[in-house]
Parts: sequence; structure tokens; C-alpha cells
Amino acid sequence: MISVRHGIALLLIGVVAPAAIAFVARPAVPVYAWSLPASFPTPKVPGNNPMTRQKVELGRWLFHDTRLSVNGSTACVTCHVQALAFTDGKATATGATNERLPRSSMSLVNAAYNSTFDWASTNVTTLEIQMLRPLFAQDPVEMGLDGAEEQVFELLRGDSRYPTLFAAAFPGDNDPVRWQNVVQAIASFVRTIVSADSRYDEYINGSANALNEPELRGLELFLSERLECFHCHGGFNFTDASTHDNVANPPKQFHNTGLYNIGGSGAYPDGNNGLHEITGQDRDRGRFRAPTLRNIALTHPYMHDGSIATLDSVLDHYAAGGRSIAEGKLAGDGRQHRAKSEFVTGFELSSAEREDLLAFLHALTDKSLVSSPQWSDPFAAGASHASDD
Amino acid sequence: MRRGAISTADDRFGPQAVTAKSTAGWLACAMLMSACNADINAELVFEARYDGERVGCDQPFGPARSMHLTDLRFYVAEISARNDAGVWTRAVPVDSPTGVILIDLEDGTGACVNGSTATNDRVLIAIPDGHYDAIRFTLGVPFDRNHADPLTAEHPLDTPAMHWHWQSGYKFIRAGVEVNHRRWHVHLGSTGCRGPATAVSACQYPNRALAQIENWSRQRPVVVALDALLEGIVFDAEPSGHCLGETDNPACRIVLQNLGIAAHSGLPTGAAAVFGSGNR
Repeated sequence: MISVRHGIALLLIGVVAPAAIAFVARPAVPVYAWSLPASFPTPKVPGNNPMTRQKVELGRWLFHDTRLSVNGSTACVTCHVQALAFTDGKATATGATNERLPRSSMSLVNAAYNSTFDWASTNVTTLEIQMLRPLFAQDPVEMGLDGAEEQVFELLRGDSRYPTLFAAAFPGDNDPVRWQNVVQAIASFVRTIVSADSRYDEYINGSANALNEPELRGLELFLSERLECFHCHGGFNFTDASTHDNVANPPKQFHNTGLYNIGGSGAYPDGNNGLHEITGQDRDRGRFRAPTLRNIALTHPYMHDGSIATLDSVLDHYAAGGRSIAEGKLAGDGRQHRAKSEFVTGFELSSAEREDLLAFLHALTDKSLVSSPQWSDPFAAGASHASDD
Repeated sequence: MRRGAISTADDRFGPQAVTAKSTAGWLACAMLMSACNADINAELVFEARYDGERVGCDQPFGPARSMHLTDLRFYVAEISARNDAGVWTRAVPVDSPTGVILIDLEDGTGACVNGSTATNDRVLIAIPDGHYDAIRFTLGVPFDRNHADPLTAEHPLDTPAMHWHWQSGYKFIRAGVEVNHRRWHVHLGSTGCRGPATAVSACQYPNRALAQIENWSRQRPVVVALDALLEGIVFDAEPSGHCLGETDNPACRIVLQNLGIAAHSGLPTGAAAVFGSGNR
């Protein structure tokens, strides 16, 4: 029997910016067999990089390979650690040459469903384009391949494992160790990082006892108009900035949550004004995409710059309707920011309700995600040959 | 410099400048007896200089020899030449399917640590027979090529070093110097671009410069005057002083001005003083 709560939760699945959905004919069935639960749609995949098992496997090796950095120190996995739901536990990341990055490493969980990538860009709409930045950017240097890619590819060519992996992933390509193929393989691997196995998902899929009473109360709070969480963090992926194979015009949602308002001017810290950096529009100051809340208990600290340390403090932030900084060069009242989202208005939250909500958020943790061998480090496994599977 | 051509007293390029590369095209033209004029070829050879002195990665230059080149790569497109009658004719880059050429004046040595060993200092163009004394070109990638997928782009749009990841499209120029051990660089391209990276609808600031080279001839290189490009830049400004294309960045405003681009529109207001005709 479907309870009222169950019904509410089922409703949550379908809440993805309804105005933006247009149903298009499904494309021809791809060769790749996604292993997705029934409640998950198929991710969008760029036409010029169809998924194959071989690309995914090559991508797994490259993702974990520190030789893909200018000084051999840093691989994708350095900032996207499986045990931390593919983020790194830091407020902001540090690049291969120790330059501090301005923003926090985003979790790669369900990145295949992102409508846009990075914290605030309307332009970066595929993993392939996004990845060019961590690999090649100079300002700041992340993996630092700018100018170094040929040396790096020579190293890869010299590794006995890669010729087989590259040939399998890009059959018929005489010189497959090229940056275009590296990017396509890593993108294919990242697309497989799908988290759909939390206790919340068990509940959705019919297991009425999967969530306990506090968690169920927390779910109701999450969906309430009093708290408004679901407005930005709704849908099957707990973010409105999602899309999938059947969405013709993906929503590109960015929100200002009132984190800063330096001197009342609307400014966020230098280099971190969110969408404003792309559009130059004042109304885009401090607008960032809402990340997925799946596995949120594992991805502290929070916000684009990691400036909120715990989930408890996150709830404080939203309950206050924003953050006011009293002193220092960042002083200003974010609650008054003129571009602040209309859904961040503050709310009352009793301590019992706070516990329930936190319990629900913890129930979004997918234990299989952090331990599944399909995303594990093939170098650590001591594998001397490519996996046959 | 080309030595195969027959030299004439008139050193503006003329019919003798046919080269091996265009021979096939020339023969095809002749055999087909079609309405193609006998095109002639010429090279635009670029040279980086500071105050008239040649600049390379391996030698210090500038005031008190305090500067080192760290980078100098830029795209050239939409080339045309003006004849004696004052008529501008479009020149077609030979062997360049995209119509865009990457000029790469750094060789990865010396202070050019993020550079590439490959270099390219010239463009081979085909143009109808005639006498030409001025050249124009656009510094940058034309809009219709600037926002294609870099993963599938043809050379020279296939180099990730020139692709601009947090904006859409390419860096039209990337240049840098090291002054008293501080590195400074400029990356400039279109900004305020709307739309997904591979389907941009428009850019608020196109930021393509226009170059016009007067008194041009085959014997004279097109000089990239670094002194003009860098005029007014304060190299040790805090925080970084780099120009990464932002319109509200003081260093970018200086570079845009030096390139003859109006900051408020991203459009050229005149020819960039950075490019001129040099003496051999």
C-alpha cells in the first residue's frame, strides 16, 4: 500500500522544472548497457562520444593516473576521492603545483545528469568541455598539462597496459593516445558514477521500512513549503540543475543563497562572483548551481568555497535566510543581497526538527557508491593487465 | 625567406611569387581554363620585436634587458591585401581548411616553459595577380569557427593550449613576459558569450583586433611590437595583474586599448598599433 508519505516522495522524483521538459523521441538504443534503477532516466550522452565498456575501462585507468599531471603528482582521483563521494574533503582544492583553487572540488556523483558543469557556468554543458579546464588551465594550474601534454602522452604510450586499453576503446585509430581520446575516455568513466542506492532509494522503490520515523519526518520537512529545500534540491538527483536523455532544453538553474554581500555592494569575494564572471550581469552575482544532495553527509565542507563546515551549520545558514559577516574584509550582510534567491527567506526550525532533517540528509548516503570496485583504483589493485570485463 | 622566386626591382609581390605549394592549384586552373585568374602566392612572415629588436624565448630584451618572453601565440584570419588602386581583396590562406592560422612565436625554450617546441611564423596566402602594398587581418578566430567543439576541431583549432575553458571559444592571443622574475600574461578572447560552449549564440565582447600593415612587401616581416602590446602594463601589480579577458580588469583595459579595441563594446576602433611593417 502506498502511504501518503510514499506518495509525496514519489512526487519528488518527478519534480524537475516541469516547464523545461519537452519529450523527444528516444534515440536508437545505444550499445552500452547502463545499470540504472527503474526510477532513474538515462543520462544524456554527447553524440560524438557514445558509451562503450572499453572507453569506460580506459577512463578508469586514466582517472587514477597521476602521470596526467605536469609533475606526476595529481590525478583526477586526487580531488575526487571515492570514499568522499568523489570530492576531497577540502574547502578549496590545491593544484598539482600547489596553487590554491578558488572553489571546492565538486562531487562527481551523478555528473552524467548535470545540465551545466562547474559551480557557475552557462556555457560548460558537457563533461568533455568541463574537463579541459582541470587538465589544461593555467589560471590557476590544476593538473597543468598546458604545454606538457606531449611528454605526458609519451609516458602513457610507454606503459605496457595502455596500448591495449586505447586500442580497445578507440578501434581503428592509429594514434589513439591523444588528448581528445583521453578526455572522451575519462568522460565515459565519470558518466558511470551513478548513485541510486541510498536508503531513500530503497524507500522509493517500495521498501516501506527503509526509512525510519525521524528520516521520514525529515523527508516531509525537506519537501515542505516552510523550508523550501526541494525548490533547488528536488528531483531524482536532489538538484534542479539536472537533465537527462528525454529533456530537450535542460534547465540551467543558478541560485544566490546569501553567502556574501561585501560592504552591502552585492560583491562576493574576488574571483568568486559565480555566474557574474560569465555574464557580467549584476543580477548574477553570487549565483551558483545547486549541487546534488546525494551523499551530502560525505561531502563536507559545503558551499562553492567550502565556507560552511558542517551540515548543522548549513541548516543554520538557511534558517537565517543567509549569512551576515560582522568583521573583516568580507564583512556584509548576505541576507540582504539583492540577488538572493526568493526561496532563501529563513525559517523556524525546532531542535527536534533539525535532528529529523539531518537524519533524512544522512539517509541519502549510498554505501555502495563509496566501496564499489567498478570505480576503484586499478593501479592500487596491482593489476598488471587491463580488466577483461 | 623565399629564395625560389625571381626577384624584381619592384619588391611588392608580383607574378614571380608562385611557389611549389600552389603549383597544383595553378596547373588545375590552367588546365580547366576556368574563370580563375592566375593566383599568386605570398608569405606574411611574423616577427616579434621590442623597440625594433628581435625577441625570442632564449634572450632577455627590453629596458635593462630585464624582460624574457614567456609566450606569444595568436590566431590570424580574414586576411586581405590592398592594391595600388586602393582596392582590398580577400587573400586565401593556402592549405588551411579553417581559414584560421596559428602564429606561434615561442619555441618552448628559455622562459617559455609552458610553450610548445613547434613554431609557426608565417602564413602562405593566395591572391589574384597584382601589386599590393598593404595587408589587413583579424587577430582572432571568426565567430563561426570560434565556438565549435574543440575535441573535433581541425588544426589549428585542435590545440587545447589555445582553447579557453572557462569562457567559450579560443584564446585569440596568449602572450606573456617575465620581468624581474615575475611572470605576467594576457589571455584574450571573446567574453560574455551566451549559450553552451559548442552552440554559442552571441558574445557581448567579441574582442577581435584589426591589424593593418602599411608599406608592406614580401621582403618586410609583419612585426608584432611587444612594446606596443605591453605599453602601460604594471608588471608587479597586486593581486596578479594578469589580463584574463575580463572587461573590468585594469590590465585588460590597457591591452584592449593597445590592440585598438574599445573595452565597452569589444569592437575595434582602428588598427592595432601592435602590428606594423618592419625593416629587414
